[in-house]
Amino acid sequence: MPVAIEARGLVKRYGEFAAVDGLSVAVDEGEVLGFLGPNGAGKTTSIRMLAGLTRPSAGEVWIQGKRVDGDGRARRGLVGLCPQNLVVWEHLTCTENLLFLADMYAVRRRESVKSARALIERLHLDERADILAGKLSGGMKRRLNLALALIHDPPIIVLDEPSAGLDPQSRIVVHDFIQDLGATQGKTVILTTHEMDVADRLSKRVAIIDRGKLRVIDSPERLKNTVGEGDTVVLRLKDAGRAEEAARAAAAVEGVRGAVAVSREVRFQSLNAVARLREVYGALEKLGIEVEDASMRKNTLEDVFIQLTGRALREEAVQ
Amino acid sequence: MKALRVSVKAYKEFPRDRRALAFLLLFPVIFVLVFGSATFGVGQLTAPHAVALINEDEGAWILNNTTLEFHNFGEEFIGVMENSTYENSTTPVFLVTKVNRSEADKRIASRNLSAIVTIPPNFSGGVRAQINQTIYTTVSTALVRAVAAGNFTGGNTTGFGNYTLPTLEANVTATVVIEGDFTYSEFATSQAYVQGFVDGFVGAVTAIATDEVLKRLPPPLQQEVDTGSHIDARTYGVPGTEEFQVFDWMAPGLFVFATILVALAVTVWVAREVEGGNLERLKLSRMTTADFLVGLLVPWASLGALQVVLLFATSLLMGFSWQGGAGALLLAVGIGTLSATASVALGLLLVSFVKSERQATSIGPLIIIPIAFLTEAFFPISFTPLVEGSPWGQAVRAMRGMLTFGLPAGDIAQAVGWMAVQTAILFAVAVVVFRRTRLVAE
Repeated sequence: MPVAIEARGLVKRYGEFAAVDGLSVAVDEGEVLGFLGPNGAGKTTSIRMLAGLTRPSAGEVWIQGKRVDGDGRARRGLVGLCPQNLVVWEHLTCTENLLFLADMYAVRRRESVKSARALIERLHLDERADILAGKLSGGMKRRLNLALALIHDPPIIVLDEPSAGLDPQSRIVVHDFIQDLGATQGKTVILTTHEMDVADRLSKRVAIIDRGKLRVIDSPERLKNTVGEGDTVVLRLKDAGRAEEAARAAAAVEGVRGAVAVSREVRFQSLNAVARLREVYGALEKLGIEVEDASMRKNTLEDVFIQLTGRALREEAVQ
Repeated sequence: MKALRVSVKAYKEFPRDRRALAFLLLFPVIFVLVFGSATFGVGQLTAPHAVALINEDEGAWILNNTTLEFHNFGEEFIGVMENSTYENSTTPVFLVTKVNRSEADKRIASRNLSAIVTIPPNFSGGVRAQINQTIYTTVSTALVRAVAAGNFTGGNTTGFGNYTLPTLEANVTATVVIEGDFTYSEFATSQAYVQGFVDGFVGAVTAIATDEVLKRLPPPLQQEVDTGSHIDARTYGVPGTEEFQVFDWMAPGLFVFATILVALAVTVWVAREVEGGNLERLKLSRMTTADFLVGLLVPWASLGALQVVLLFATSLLMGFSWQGGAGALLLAVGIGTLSATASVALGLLLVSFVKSERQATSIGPLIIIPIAFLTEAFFPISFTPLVEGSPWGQAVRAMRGMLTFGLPAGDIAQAVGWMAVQTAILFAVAVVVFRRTRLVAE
């Protein structure tokens, strides 16, 4: 798959402080890339440089195989940005907002009207299409905010926390829409979010950035299987008196960590626990210990995220 | 095309943003209503009075004993005025400017002068008539007294000198014309001082002539007599101002003041777009700097035109007596549009340095209101470069000259020309600064 947008060694310094420090990441055409990081990690600065709103201190941005200059002129129309803040023209209606921005992208009126209608319908804004944006609810404004990033049909879309603060219904609408962008429309999407489950579900790959540096980039599945404490397994034994013995047997299996006995249960952690369970069961069988029930909490992307970025509040750390 | 869309967007937003519209249209109307029903005028007792002197005196030949001398008493009168100071003070009574009539009219219109004093062609003739009248009256009165006292016998005049009585010029009267704006309190003071100086000059001439005669008469016959006057001064309003009220002077300034407020509105408006991120959204689009600026300029400048029309109508309701007809009104709308254009430029310049709507509303007035006061919209400014250095000052002068004083278009062309040049420079600077700070990547 050809690369749609690529950052090569991007650096942004503010005095001595490097907000982004040598970021290199390539996003394929049609890929949804989850771009994660704690507050102040450099996500927004990175996507502003990719979009052309912030001039890098060093490094390059390549779009569709061409290097683009710092002030973003060369990428005009290629990148659609949905900013974190609600950026709408409050004194224009939803439709007027979309048509005005389409005009600024020199989209033909017939096409822009069609696109505006489709976006309004797809994002469930039809009943409010002719209401001033300033009178919309927060959720509707956020959906309009998203629609504005797409009105000119850009091949690359950067979404900065597009579903922040939305109610569950609106989140479903927005998430389905984003999923559709990558899967059906073949758009390249860079998605920043603090909702790890959303990134896990929507992203083909996830990049985690911290203190301006890229910590890891891989598929969510692989990250969950390779980073962190792993899945948590709980085995309930028939015989409570053998829990300590069972815990020792489990701990002896390679890849199993933190095996403990708690009442009738044995708990342990392991990366890719499903693959380890067979060996643990085998070890218990050899000892004649019977398992009455088993449950597993899969390693989550949030676990991966915490493992890589730590538990400290990041705003304090940045200070 | 994109510029047009930006303009159309603004036109749609104007009526929907009622606060901003009220600020721009209602606030100036309130100003007009307040000033229209108020009086105005302050002055200092010992401040110099700026007057223009136009000397049309042709001079006159005067026989001094046996010598015929040519005098231009107009020049001497000007010298007296120039060198006079207030009692026990070094402050001059007058700041005398010698200009032509057209320039004097313009300065009266801008209140840089309080009065135009015109010395008539027969001023020296009037002085000569005054001298002759004094000699004739004094001598003939003495003669009558001599006869009565028995000193006159058979055609000889004992004790009288040997000279011929001058010819009387009974029909000669030289009138010094003092012109100004009756609505300007400073004119009232200035014309009173000039009138006093004319009377004083006549008195001095009469006294010198009387002294010259009396010292040749025997002491019993030395008596001053009332000789009348061949020189007087009359006060007139500058054409068109005779029926003026203070508000007539002020109204055109208020029109321009309203267009200056456009700068504040533009600053707040664009600051809101910056703070809200809308401008960044546009930066990502294919919109160019020119699209944005032209798109911004057209609606705001046309709002300036609307302000002038609206305030003109309100002023008429308040009794504004204007001059110049439809052509002048049309030109005033044009000046208002140009003034609003300069205000858009100022707004762009200000918004280059503010980051939020709150900053715009707090910092903007600190810059814009003093500028408004330095335009002579509300009161005359003695340091004229401050006024002439800004397009709004030129706008006030042009609009006032035309609507209040009825100056023809040719007389305000220079002010309008300067205004256009100043606006163009301001706009060019604003475009460069605004583009660098707001329309390129950070």
